[in-house]
Amino acid sequence: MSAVVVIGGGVDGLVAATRLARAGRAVVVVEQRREVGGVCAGGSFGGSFRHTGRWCDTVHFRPALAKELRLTECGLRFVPPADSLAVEADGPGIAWTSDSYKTERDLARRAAGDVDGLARLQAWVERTRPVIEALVDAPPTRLEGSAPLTPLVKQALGMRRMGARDMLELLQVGPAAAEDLLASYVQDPLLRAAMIAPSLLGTRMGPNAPHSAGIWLLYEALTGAYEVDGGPAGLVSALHVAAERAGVRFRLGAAARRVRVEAGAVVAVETSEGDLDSRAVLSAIGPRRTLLDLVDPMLLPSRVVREARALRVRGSWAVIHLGLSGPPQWRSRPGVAFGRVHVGASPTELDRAMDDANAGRLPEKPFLDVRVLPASCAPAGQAALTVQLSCVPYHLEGGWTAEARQRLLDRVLATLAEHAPHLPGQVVASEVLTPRDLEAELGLEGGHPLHGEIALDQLWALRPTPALAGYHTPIKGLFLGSSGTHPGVGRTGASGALAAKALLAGA
Amino acid sequence: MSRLGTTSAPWDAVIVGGGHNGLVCAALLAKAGKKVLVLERRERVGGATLTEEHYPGFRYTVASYVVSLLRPWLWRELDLARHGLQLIPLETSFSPYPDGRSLCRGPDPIATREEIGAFSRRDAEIYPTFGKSMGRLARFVKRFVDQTAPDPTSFRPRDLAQLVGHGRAFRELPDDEEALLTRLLTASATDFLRETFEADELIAPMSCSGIIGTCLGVSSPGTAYVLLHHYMGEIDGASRAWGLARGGNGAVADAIASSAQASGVTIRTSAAVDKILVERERAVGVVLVDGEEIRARTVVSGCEPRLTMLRMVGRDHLPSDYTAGLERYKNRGSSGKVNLSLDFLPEFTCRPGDGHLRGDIAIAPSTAYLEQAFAEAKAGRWSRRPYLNVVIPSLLDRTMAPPGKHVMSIFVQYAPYHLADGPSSWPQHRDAFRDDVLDTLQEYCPRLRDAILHAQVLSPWDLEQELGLTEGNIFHGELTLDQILFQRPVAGWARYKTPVRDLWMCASGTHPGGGVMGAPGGLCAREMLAAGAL
Ligand SMILES: Cc1cc2nc3c(=O)[nH]c(=O)nc-3n(C[C@H](O)[C@H](O)[C@H](O)COP(=O)(O)OP(=O)(O)OC[C@H]3O[C@@H](n4cnc5c(N)ncnc54)[C@H](O)[C@@H]3O)c2cc1C
Ligand SMILES: Cc1cc2nc3c(=O)[nH]c(=O)nc-3n(C[C@H](O)[C@H](O)[C@H](O)COP(=O)(O)OP(=O)(O)OC[C@H]3O[C@@H](n4cnc5c(N)ncnc54)[C@H](O)[C@@H]3O)c2cc1C
Repeated sequence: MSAVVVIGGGVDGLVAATRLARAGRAVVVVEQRREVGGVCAGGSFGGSFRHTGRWCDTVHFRPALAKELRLTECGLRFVPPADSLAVEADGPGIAWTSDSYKTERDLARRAAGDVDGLARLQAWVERTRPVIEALVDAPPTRLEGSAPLTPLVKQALGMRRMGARDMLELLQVGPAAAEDLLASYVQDPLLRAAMIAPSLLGTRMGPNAPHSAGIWLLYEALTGAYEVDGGPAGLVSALHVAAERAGVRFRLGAAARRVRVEAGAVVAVETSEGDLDSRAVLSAIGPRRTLLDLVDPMLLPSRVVREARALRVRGSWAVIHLGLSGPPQWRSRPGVAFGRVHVGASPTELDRAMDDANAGRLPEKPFLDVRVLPASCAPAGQAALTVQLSCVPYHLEGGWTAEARQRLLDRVLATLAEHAPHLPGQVVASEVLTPRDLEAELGLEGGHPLHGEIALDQLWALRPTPALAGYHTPIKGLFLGSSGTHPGVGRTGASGALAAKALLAGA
Repeated sequence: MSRLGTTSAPWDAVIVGGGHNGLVCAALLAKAGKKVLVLERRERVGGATLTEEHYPGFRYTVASYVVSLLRPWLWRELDLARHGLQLIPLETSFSPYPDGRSLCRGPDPIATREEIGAFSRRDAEIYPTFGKSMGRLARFVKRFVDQTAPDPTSFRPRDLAQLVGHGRAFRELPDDEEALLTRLLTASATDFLRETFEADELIAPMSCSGIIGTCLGVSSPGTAYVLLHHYMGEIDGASRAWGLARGGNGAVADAIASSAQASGVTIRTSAAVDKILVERERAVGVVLVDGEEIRARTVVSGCEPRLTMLRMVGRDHLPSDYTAGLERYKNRGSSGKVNLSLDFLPEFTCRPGDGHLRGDIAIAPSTAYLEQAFAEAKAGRWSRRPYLNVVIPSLLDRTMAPPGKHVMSIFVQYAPYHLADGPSSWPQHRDAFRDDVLDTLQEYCPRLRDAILHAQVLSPWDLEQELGLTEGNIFHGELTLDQILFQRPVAGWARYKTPVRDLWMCASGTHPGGGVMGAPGGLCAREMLAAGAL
């Protein structure tokens, strides 16, 4: 039997490859870059600084997968999340530390009812968690065709077990606006902003957009209690070890150019470094790109092509890595070190920033999610930061010229200066990645971190598109498995795992 | 104890509010032999389906202006044709653009194809197929409009059978239409349309039906589904069936009222209800603003849910989670209305004549225009260049204006209820608002202002004050995915019942929602009778 070719060595590609190899298949991963990891790969910048991936969140990786792939034996270590801070212009902000009593006191001082409101909200999220996990850990039910709806009925019954009240609440919250939901529990706008902003990654929604509550809930319910030590790069390195131990072979620096198809079935993958014969291909890069660029569209039903073209993949995120001559000092909490800092005053401001981005402008007041990276990422006494920005347009008015990138950096530094006045003066190195740069560097079409916008019409049975729903394609032997497929919310690894399962069952 | 009221209450049901839904409910209850009283605050019934003369000889269809969803089964049961209701189909949709081009879509497929072809050949080819698919989906959705809302939490056989029935019907749709439907329920209007069409000149006016009555933009998620309403019409079996009621939309209410009276309903106008009387957790009657007390075995509210429950009933009688649900219920008004009496018909520069004006006219030249209009609303201002939906009823119905003269109905969005300086500042801004509306239209009809004899301007504030529409929302609550079906108005209370025994709700704030369709009123009456409520 020829080897299964996995296109793309990102998190999902690595998970899929390992699962396939452990099921006894020969597997080759084809990765265009010289290293695996995709958006999660660490790297260096500014000469002497390192980053741990273009993004730092690892709290969504499915714990069951870590266990199945025995990642702890491959060096994976879970650690409690770093202390974090939501800064504000003239006040102490909110700090989340291991001392939850202090955090509660902070919250109570800001708005008397919020401690209780937050507890009620969290309790409700806990109750919905099993329903959401069941949804995420299973392939989507195909709504079309004649396939039985039994899985759907089962899922519905699972939902009913929550009890009528929680179920109605869940059905109502899904299509509502995040801000409406949170405001009915929590008064403090700063707290709401810090809670909502990260969840809208990968959407074009502001907190007042319909459906944003559903996205928030998905994100929140999938958030685990632990992070991976070493960030995304730590996760990638464990996955890489696991894959190699399972016997996966790697072709690094080989970009897939075409999936060759004969008589409706895959026969080979053409790469920049030569062809690989194969009857089974799992593409862990974007579904849109896979179907429209790697496959001859003439071979696909017109409906599939039409839907793939319509798939929305425009990202609105940018990343800036900063090297500082010393640790940042936050005006809200002088002298205290935090691993994560949220900058953004209120959901209303987030909404405006998203409006700016959707209109093709740089946001007046950008929302920042700042990570202070481990000390090992910077020379002694210095500090490395990764700043994640939402609301940065892919199609910027006037284009992403060098001047525009500088403007973005200046605006971010000016925003940071409001909360850490010395910070701009501390900058000794910087790297700016706009959505365009993310596209060019990582092969992320549209610069979208998740290979497809997150919105109710592009999730679950509609991800990547209704005709595809899941991991199969009309071409025999070709499967889709990046976060552009279900569940696709964050770095769960579930897309790759479910795709591998589909391949094993179907090929 | 015997049921309260059998001896003390002369009425089986007292209906609060004589909007068309209240009247439908009253008529059906009376037909079943019940003694029914309708109390209407204004001097005339109709609520948001109202015709009034504000300038001698000119009749305005004051609020709502087109009819398409009025349920066929109500036509039959209430015998509305015999009570004088006549519909005139609206056949065309006309949209002018600032560059002097224009688009007129109408009943003639060949002409429409040519019109659209001027913007995109591809779109012209797909347009009829798209319409057919949407028509079929609309038929599917009508299942929901003519039944009480499903209850997904219930294990009762009747409810499970209903759910299974909906599932089967879904399965019977062709694959690509299933896909279309799932996208419709979840996508934004523009994303949904862009999947099929490419010409922004076509997408922009089509997308507008997705935002009517909501405080959302054409690219807000969830707005696609309202597009279906455009394909749900059922007038003479015509495909794109919006119609005008002869005599304005007030004629709809008048016909229903006449049918109701023929069945024995008593209607009292200028009778504003102040409180719904609750004794021992049951509704037992109402108190009018002048203090008069009227007792009845059941009370049915034909008013908006928040007005009914929070103002007329009061929180003291309500469980806290129901109150919380109502407080979360989104009712943000976003539209206004300008009605004009015209001395002559002002022509559109881009296309003289009036053949293309016998339908609706949309000022929605581009999606960017609509986004800008929405951005202003979010910032608490009315759009300086709003989306307009214009109808000139007098072109089709000679009873609306003196010979040679015309009335024009202009629906305006966005006019947010919540202005930056508060909703009660609307009266100060009314003239400026009107001027922006007229300026917008005048760009296409230069002689508009010369023709105006009289103008009536209704801001969302006025809609609230005049018609009792809370926050001026035209549908008694936005029609978004989280506020329809079993969640309208409050999750778990979508079957016309309320937490107060013997108090029911029958208007647009209940399933299946707003619009001149009579379905909430009709379904409420059915539920009440089936439950043996009175
Ligand atoms: C800016 C940003 C912010 C993010 N924020 C979060 C967050 O807050 N929370 C969260 O959970 N997730 C976040 N993510 C998303 C998360 O990192 C991704 O969802 C996840 O890593 C995707 O994994 P993947 O394997 O599906 O895709 P990728 O990591 O993109 O992997 C695809 C791989 O395929 C390679 N490749 C592409 N084309 C070819 C080709 N033709 N031939 C061979 N190889 C190819 C690429 O180089 C890459 O290595 C973010 C991502 C980004 C970029
Ligand atoms: C400007 C505008 C344009 C519209 N355009 C269209 C359209 O073109 N097509 C369409 O299908 N739909 C349209 N609609 C929506 C449609 O008109 C409404 O959804 C529908 O008419 C509501 O009917 P209803 O019976 O549910 O409630 P209403 O018509 O609102 O009836 C409620 C009644 O209660 C009365 N009332 C209020 N308070 C009291 C009290 N205290 N005591 C006694 N009575 C009271 C009111 O006076 C009113 O008569 C439009 C609405 C508006 C406002």
